[in-house]
Amino acid sequence: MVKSSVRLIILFSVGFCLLGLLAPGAEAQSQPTFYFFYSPTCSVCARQSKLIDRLEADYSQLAVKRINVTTGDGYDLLQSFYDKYQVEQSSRGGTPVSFIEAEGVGGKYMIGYSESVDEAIEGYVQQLIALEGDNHQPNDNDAIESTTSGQITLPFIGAINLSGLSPLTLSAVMGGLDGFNACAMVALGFLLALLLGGESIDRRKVFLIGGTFILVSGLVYFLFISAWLNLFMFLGYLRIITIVVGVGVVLFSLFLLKDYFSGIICKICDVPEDGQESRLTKGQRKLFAIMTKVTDSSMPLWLVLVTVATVAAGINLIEIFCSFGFPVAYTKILTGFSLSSVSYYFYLLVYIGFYMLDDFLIFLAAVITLRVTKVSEKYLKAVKLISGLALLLLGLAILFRPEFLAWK
Amino acid sequence: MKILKIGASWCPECVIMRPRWAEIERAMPELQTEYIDYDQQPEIKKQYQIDHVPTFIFLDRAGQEILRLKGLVEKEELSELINQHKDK
Repeated sequence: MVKSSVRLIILFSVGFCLLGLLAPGAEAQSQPTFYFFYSPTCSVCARQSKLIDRLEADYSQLAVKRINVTTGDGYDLLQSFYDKYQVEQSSRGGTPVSFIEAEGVGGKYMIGYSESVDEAIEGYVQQLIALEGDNHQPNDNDAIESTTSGQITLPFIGAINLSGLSPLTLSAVMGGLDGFNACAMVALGFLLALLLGGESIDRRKVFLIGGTFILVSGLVYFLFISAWLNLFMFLGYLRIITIVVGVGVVLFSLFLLKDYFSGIICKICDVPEDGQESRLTKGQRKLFAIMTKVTDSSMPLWLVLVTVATVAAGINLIEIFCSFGFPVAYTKILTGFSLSSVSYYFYLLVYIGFYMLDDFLIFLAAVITLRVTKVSEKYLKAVKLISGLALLLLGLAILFRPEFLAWK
Repeated sequence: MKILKIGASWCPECVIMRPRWAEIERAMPELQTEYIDYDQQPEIKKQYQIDHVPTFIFLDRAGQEILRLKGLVEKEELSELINQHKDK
């Protein structure tokens, strides 16, 4: 576990061509070849590509082969390289992946993108170039661990880049934006009004019921985002998925903006002319009605809490269908960073933390002051507008300018 | 003037509006208000063309509608509108 974590921590793995090792110097050396596997929508691939452009210009002896893994042939070639280099299954599936080899010497592979990977690539290319024509074996350099400035290193999680659009910034910003969700705000306002609207207010009860609701909501949302993440990790290479996600996010943002311009905040309270509400809306209404009854009743507290937890899970599950924009865009961009699975879940927690932050602060203020913070129509409308615009930009960036989402 | 407050137990906005109304009614005991549950009196939907709950309808002495508010309304805004129309 620790051993494999260390591999994951440094974000790249280094391997040797066994044939080359077994017969060092026995064969004549050939030109060093750089196989660069990339995906056209992967933002960090575009960044690593710049380094490769430079290496190609600096070293005429280096043959560079760029392979698009979203094509059938490219994908098959990558699989054969994975097998040849005995790359662990857990490390497969992301881009960029580089294999640098020279016959008679051996080769190495590097997975993912970070400054230390770039340094390792450049170092190994220089080594191979220096050895060309020379019959010496290059020094083993299995694990090149370097911590560059602007990074902090956490156990199991690895290096966290603090500058530019790192996964950390991405998770915090998008989680925060997603947290300003009009429907979630209405649900929280509803809960607080129920708890604080009565004649006698019991601070402990308010804290426990509100806390349970927020905690369960966070948990359900975490499971939901994890599901998207796993889906995109599974489908990672397919260009069509990126297009579907980009178009989906853009369409979703247009719905939000349409709601903003037609003044709709939360559809649950609309009663359409034909009376044909969707099944989801009916389910959601039933849950809200149960919640109203439960908090008004004189049930024992534990039973109230169990009911609140169940209702919170239900309300959030239904709401998931109405708020997939940010989670989908976020998990799709995150998978572009080619991180280890431990890191992915760490960033999901960061996202959820920021997602819950505003709810938590409103709740805390309510518990302390025992008054409901104003949830005004104007505020909720502004929230819709900001979310809509942010999602629109994200969707367009995923489709047309993936490099904007790159790790700087 | 009389105000009809049309709401439902499943509607979060109605619940959010409850304490705001409670405060206003405490401050203006002379104000006439009536709460109508949308589910218990479904005919209200046709009678007043309701498309959203909560809906707050201000009626004058003759029972004619003078103003209609939907969804979340700030307490200050409500008080101001009530003061404007209370003598009608």
